[in-house]
Amino acid sequence: MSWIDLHQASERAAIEADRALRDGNQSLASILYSEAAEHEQRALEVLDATKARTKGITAVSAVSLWFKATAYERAEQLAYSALADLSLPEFSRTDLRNLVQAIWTESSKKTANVNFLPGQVFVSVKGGEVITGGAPLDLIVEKVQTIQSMFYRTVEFIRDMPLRRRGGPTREIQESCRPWLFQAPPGSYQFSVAIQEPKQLDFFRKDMRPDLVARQFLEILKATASDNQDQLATIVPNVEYRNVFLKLGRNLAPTGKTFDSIELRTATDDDPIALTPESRTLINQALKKGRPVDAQDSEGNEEELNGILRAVDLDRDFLDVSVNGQPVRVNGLGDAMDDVIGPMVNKPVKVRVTRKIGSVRFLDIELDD
Amino acid sequence: MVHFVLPDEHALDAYANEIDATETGAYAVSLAAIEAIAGLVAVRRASTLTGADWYIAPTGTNSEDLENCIRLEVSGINAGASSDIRRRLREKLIQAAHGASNLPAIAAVVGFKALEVAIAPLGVSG
Repeated sequence: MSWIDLHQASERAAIEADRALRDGNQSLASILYSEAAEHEQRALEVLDATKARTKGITAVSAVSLWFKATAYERAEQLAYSALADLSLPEFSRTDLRNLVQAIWTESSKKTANVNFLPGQVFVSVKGGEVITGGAPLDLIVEKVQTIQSMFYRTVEFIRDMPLRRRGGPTREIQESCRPWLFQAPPGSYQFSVAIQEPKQLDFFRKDMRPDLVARQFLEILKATASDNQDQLATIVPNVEYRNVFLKLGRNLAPTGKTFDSIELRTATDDDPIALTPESRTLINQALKKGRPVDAQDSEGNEEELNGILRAVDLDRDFLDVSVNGQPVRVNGLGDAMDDVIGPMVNKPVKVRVTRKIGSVRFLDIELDD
Repeated sequence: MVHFVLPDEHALDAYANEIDATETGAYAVSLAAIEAIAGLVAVRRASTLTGADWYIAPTGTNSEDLENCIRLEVSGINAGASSDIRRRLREKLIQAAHGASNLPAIAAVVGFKALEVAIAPLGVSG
């Protein structure tokens, strides 16, 4: 059989595999991806050695198909064999190296003896002080914390739980859907987040597909940064949850000082969700629009305090911010929540307040990194 | 004029997710647009880590290999205005300039809200 016959057979099987995956039939998808990979690998073997470009594309395709079939050893073996061929074009060598790293990540998940929900979210932080494969530790720690908070909130939201106003998620949620951090293929600073599968089979409602947690997370995040806030209202009808997601989304979005953008996507999406300083502006506009007009606040003058957040006491309803070395106490935190405000402690913040004689009252807070 | 079969309940369920629907719809619309304006049709498909690439060539080309095919890089935006579509196309051009792709290629960005398709050739590298 010629390259074209084998490649066509591979195409057909891969299209059927994609369809099975979309239908939620993972086991059939794996069988079909294996079949597609066998054909593609044979296509690579019969290919005329002078056809370098076709060879590069076919090699990447065959390794990708073994990877999608979760046959990681076959994928790794073929990737190394292809990389040993010095006539392979550079574009395909880059793709193959990225595939090898993805194979390692997936293999390490297998050996972790923990099951993960299908779908993971790849996160890349770009620009500013961020370089390829490296980023300021405090920046990454804060973004990882916010992503974890948003995942927990997403799980609580899709389980129809009442909005959590204080403290972290319940022990059940933390133990059942723990997010894990993995190294992701290089390019800027990248990592991926996968959700551990709940051991309790009925953890999610029967009509809820747990494999959509990652997608739901991304759809909510995408809607928070959209100029059309009707989208977010459709996905998250509960106004209080909506408000929390907007604030967590804003925590993720850059100010443009330390880094330029943060991109998030699933493994199957070519188009990432990119949060930029413009996204932060859009989220701020949405939050301001949705803020209730408090009669007490409307009497005072609205102003912005720029300083370091030194302390937060949600139970006693105040925060302390150091402005030019002088402490300022801000009262009336209202619906401020631990996971939104907690990661900001000891970091530069912008606090919007209303000031009246003897009282500074809280309106909003955001990072000013 | 585009003729298509209305999706049945099974298809609607399979593509109920907005991301899947946008991605697949963008492939369909961009392939139709490229054929209409440039006479290029999809001849091959090859898998990648994150999905699959389509390869296009002039109608009637004997595609025994991929040596002269053009890779079609597709993006779909389900919301946003013309400026968002142009911005996405610029991002694709910047990515190509950094040599991250197997080129020659054409980028197509489909805006479902703005009802626009933006198409541009990407540079050559590798």
